This record gives sequence, structure tokens and C-alpha cells, in this order.
Amino acid sequence: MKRVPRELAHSLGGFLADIGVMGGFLLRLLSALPSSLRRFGLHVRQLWFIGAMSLTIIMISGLFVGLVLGLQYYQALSQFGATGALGTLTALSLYRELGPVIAALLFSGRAGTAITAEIGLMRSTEQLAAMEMMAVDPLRYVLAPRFLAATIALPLLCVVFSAMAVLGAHASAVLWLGLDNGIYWSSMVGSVDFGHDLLGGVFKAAVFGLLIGLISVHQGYTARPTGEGVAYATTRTVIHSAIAILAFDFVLTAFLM
Amino acid sequence: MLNAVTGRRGRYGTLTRFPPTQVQALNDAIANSRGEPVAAPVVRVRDLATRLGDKRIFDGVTFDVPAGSVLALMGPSGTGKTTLLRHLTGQQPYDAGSVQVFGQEVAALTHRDLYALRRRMGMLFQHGALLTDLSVFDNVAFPLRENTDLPERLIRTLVLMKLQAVGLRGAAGLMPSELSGGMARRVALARAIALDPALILYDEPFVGLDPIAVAAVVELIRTLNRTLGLTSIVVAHEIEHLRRVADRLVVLSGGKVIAQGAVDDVLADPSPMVRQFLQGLSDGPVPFHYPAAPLAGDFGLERGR
Repeated sequence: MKRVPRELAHSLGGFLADIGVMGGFLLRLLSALPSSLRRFGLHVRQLWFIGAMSLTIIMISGLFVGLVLGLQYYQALSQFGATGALGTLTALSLYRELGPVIAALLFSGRAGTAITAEIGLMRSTEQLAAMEMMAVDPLRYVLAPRFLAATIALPLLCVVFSAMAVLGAHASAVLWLGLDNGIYWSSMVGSVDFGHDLLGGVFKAAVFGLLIGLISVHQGYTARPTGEGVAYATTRTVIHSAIAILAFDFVLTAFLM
Repeated sequence: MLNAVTGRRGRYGTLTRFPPTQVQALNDAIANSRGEPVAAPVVRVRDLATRLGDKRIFDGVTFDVPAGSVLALMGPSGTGKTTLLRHLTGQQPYDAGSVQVFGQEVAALTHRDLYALRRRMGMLFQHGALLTDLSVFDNVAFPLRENTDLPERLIRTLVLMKLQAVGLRGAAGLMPSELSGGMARRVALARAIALDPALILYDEPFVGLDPIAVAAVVELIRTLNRTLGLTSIVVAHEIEHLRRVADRLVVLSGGKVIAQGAVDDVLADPSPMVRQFLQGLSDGPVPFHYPAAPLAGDFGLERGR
């Protein structure tokens, strides 16, 4: 039984050390950003690849999440005769929680893995070493643009996700189950606060985007230069991102309440 | 002799148009013949020691690379030849000893100074390491665009000149995935000389190439060294190719330099370790078998069983 506290302390120490490493890496990335911004084309390209190319999955997923929310809320609320609150409930749960969190989880699977695999492969084919030898810092040329693109893209994708979900809930609750169209929109307009609810959610998404960007470039950069190493790094990107998103969601919600 | 090479005489006598490194090499040769001390070598390694985990990679490695020469670095695989190159480029730290490039201690350099040093070095990676999302032209232009403010028209001229030097000007529009192994390495060579380095490092330049491509690379290494006045370090196993390329030979084994000197001297070295390596004998001082438990034990042949 004595071993349990010791192992806990050990893994806690490892966890804290990891946070320290990530903090240091974040500082290096941030210090590489200003000089990297001079190559503006690189950033546009990454924003296109990481952000715009994720639109399809984000829009389709948002639509289905909205469709399901409409059905579930309608059924639950109709038991209390409170279907008039469906718009409010849908909007608040989407803007505050579901939008940022689900969009972030999808984004880490779509874009985070791509970033890790690409950088890991560049490491294993010595492209990063070749850049260093040409006096070009990979941190500036490869990592910083991807990191920044993730931080910018996710809040925008989160807004798209929520918009599609609101339309999805409208489709299932109003068009299919017969909720009044005016009630759906007016309850939403009346109870959603732009600054607190919507911008709060977008802020969350920006933090998640930063975390996913940080984790995925770090995993790719430190991946062992073998096929297996890149595979492990890609898996770790998804796992670490998911845990980071959910843990930070709790912390941010507590602060934003 | 100077006139014969430069082919012209200036208003005030001989106009020397040699690259600085070659001038230095000449001056060294003159100083040497008079018994004067020779100018500092381009690369100077003293008592280098490195450990990777529990494994001792280098244990007191010492050698020089004189300016303008081609040094071949040989040794059984796993002796850390590539690691040695990474020490020279500052991509991997060493534990003890001294590694000086252009008179600067690599380990003591700041990030900025290290990158400034790397601008004076070129490196040819084992598989070329071309940037796969850029075309051949953009790969060669990459170091120029990133490290200089030259106008695009001048960059185009420079890139085509470098590609012409390796015989691939016609391939400028291709992507790296469309190149054969030999072509990729020649493009990588054009990229490595894009910034006109004074020192160039070749990591296994002959591996996996057909005889024609090998001949082309051998020819390129020699021509570049002669015409650009480069100092070169070639890591390779192939003695027959190295004979045609190198001035000096350093043989590494077991973390130490077991032989070094002019190529012919090392090839005539009588020590069994050098003989085994140069003659390609599978067993000898470097054993064929990786250290293992006694054979009888592993096959259950011990007495009493």
C-alpha cells in the first residue's frame, strides 16, 4: 500500500515536468512568431490547409449535433410543456459548451494529427535537419505558422459549427416536430448574451486552438524519427489534446461563470 | 603559376583571383615548405568524447581538416560518423574535448552565431533531404530566399547556375518525388552550395546509387573542391570511390581514430584493424559476432542436461 502514494507523487512530478516543458516550448514558439510573420504566405497557406480544409467535417458534424439536440430537447421539454425554451437551451448549450468542445475534438482529429504526422515525417526524412543546416530555424519556418493557424482557425470553425447546429436544431424541432418558428428564434434572441455567451465560447475555442496547435507541433517536433515513432506521436496528439481540451474547459467554465 | 591559372595580368602585376580558402591553402603550402607554422585548419577536433546513454561513441578523437582539402571519414557502421558531422554542425552537443570550425568552438556559440556559422557550411544529407513540398527550383532557391535579400531575378540566375553545375538545369520544374535517387542527391548538392559555403559535409554520398550516378557524384565533389576552393569532409565506406576523391583519410573505430594521414599512407597501414576494414574481412579485430552468451548455453548443449 505504501507504493501507491509514492507512484502517485512520481507521476505527479512527471506531469508537472511535462507542463514545464510545454511552457518552455510555448515561449520558444511565441518568440519565433514575429520573425515568422514576415513570411506571410506560409501563414496563409497553413490557415487554408488547417482551417478551410476542416470546414466540411465541422459543418456536417455541426448539422447532425443540432438535429439530435432538437429532437432530444423537444422530447424532454414537451413533458413539462416548456418547448418554448428550446431555442434558449439549444443556443446556450451550443455557444457555451458543445460548440467549442466538439469543434475542438474534431479539429484535433482532423488538423492536429495532420500537423504532427507532417512534422514527424519531415523530422524522419531529415528535412528539419536540412533546414537547420541552411540556417533556417524550423521553429520559425515550419512550427510557428502551423501553431498560429490552429489558434486562429478553431474559434472561426467553432462559430461555423454552432451556426450549423442552430440550423440543424431548427430543422428537427421546427420543420419536423412542429415547434413554432417565431418562438424558436425569439427565445434564442431574448436570452443569449452576445458578450458572455457567444464571445465566451469563442474565447474558449481560441484557447483550445492554442492547446491543439502547441501539442501537435510539439509531438511532431519531438517524434522519434521512425514510422513507429510518428504513429505514436500522432496518437499522443489526439489523446493529449482531448484531455487538455476537457480539463481546460472545466477551468475556463469556472472562470467565465 | 598564378598567371597560368588566373589567365590574366593586372596593371600592377599579378592579379590573384583565387577564392580565399585556396589562397590560404597556397600560403600554407609555402609556409610549410619554409618550415613556418601553418595557418589554422578549417576544422579542428581535439580529444572529443561523446556518450549516448550508456554507449560511448567517441573517446579522445583528434584530427584536423586543412583548408582546401578533401578529408574522407571512414569506419564500420555504428562508429558515429554521422554523429561526428552533427557535432561539427552544432546539431548535437558533445561531452568533452573541443570541436572548432573556422576557429570557433561550436559548443560555445550562441543560437545566432551558430546559424551564422551554418551559413558558411553546406551539408549533403544521406538521402538528399529535399523539402518535399517545394519544386527542385524552389529547393535550391530556399537557402537564398531565406538568408539573403537578393531580388528574385538574381536568385533565378543563381539557382539555374547551381543546377547547371550539377547537370540538372532541365529538371528545375520537377518535384522531388519525380527524381531518381541520384538526381535527388545532385539537387541536394546544388542546394548545399547555393550560399557558396567554405566547408561542405557529405554524409554517405554514394549509398544506393548506380555506377553512373556514383561517377557523377565523385566528379562533382572533385570539381567543386577544385573550382570553388571548398574544404570538404566526406563520410563514406567505399574505398575505391574515396581514393579518387580524398586527399586525407581518417579511419574511426571503437570511438577512436585508428589511422589517419594521406590516403596512400593509410591504405598501406599494416595494423590489423585497419587492414580488416580496408580489405573488407568479415572477422578480425572487429568481431563478426555481436557480444553474446556462450553458444552452448543458448542451444541447450551444456553438459548434464
